[in-house]
Amino acid sequence: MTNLLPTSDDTIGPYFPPCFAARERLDLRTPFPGMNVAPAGTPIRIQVQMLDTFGKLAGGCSLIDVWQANAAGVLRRPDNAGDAAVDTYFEGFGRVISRDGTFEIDTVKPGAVKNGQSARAPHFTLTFFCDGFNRLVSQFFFDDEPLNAGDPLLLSLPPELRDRLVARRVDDVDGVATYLLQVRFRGENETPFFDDLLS
Amino acid sequence: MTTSHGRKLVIGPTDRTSEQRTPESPLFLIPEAARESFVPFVATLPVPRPGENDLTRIAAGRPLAEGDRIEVTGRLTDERGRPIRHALIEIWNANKWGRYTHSDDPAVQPLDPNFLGIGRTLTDSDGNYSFYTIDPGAYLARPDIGRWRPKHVHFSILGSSARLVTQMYFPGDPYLEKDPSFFLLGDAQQRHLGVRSDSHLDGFAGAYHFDITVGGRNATFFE
Repeated sequence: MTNLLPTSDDTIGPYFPPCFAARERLDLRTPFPGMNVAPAGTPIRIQVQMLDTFGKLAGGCSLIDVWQANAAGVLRRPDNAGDAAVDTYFEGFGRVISRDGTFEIDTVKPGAVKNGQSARAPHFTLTFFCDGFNRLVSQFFFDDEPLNAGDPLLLSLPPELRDRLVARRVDDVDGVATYLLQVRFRGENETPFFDDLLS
Repeated sequence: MTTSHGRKLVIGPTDRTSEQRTPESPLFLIPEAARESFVPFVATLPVPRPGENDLTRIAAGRPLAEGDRIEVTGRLTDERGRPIRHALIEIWNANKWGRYTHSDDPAVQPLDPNFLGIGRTLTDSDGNYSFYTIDPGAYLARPDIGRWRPKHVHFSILGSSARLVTQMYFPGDPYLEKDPSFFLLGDAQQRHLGVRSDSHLDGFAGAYHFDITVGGRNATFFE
């Protein structure tokens, strides 16, 4: 087989059509609106603020991909649809847009993902597409999870950077446990981002 | 893995947003124990209606948009040349005069009531896709310094575990040389130019072929 050279990422630009994702709050808890079904697990809301080098909200239209395990800590795969631990009411993937630098995710708290004999700390992955850069990927954690202390991704970072990937529990909203995550694209307290092409 | 860091992202010249949002630190490498968790699986994709790959009309039977009609075709593969089947490709481009239909576009160029500028399709079982659109105009990205962007078509790829947002540019465009985004493509610039040919379709001004290769381990789900 020949090796083809990859097509490069390029900017989504400021005029990405919002209608392709349309929602500034992604709802992973309601796969079938109006039906009396829901994914298992603790409902949570994650509020995200995207900040620029001045610490100001990075406004304009941007697109964010969300990816996480279900409440049992199982990530969906092409080959595990039949597993009992896969929650048929939870896809774990969604797209959301932001118009003002903020967006929200209504989801269930992800479980600890098995990793050989140990378990990964509960986490979710965000991929950002935004005017100003092409694509940024990182993975985020919760400040009330003891497993954070042993998570291999957090441990791979210098200790002083680890907290930057942790969402903080704030006051409940609408009776739902709510977390606030600040993502700093550049500058002081810059969020660590990961390279999924070279890794 | 021989490097200790991932890529250092570069700031596009004269791009203020890029200066404010591009991380200063190089990207970090993902440790193997966490690598699989970075591979999303998109289990469900929207099913486009027939005609959603045709941007030359708002809807079937409606008047043609202003400007030259062009075909844009290509094949979506991974680095080994294997087709990425039934993936969602969304495109968007400016109208004949370089104006986006987006509500935030402050450009003074006119809107075309017969051009929405968005389309989508799924790749076929061999990874092929095709669109019909209007040859876009260059657009004035920075009125304050008179910087125009070369004409281009935006692409978003979503399917299986492939995720890519990119652009196809047009060969010979005089604005390519000073475009920050095109500059950042570096050695890859040539691959981002559509390959022009004559269209066999009646009334079309040309055809552009743009093959897309999704790189890295996320392209197709881990085997």
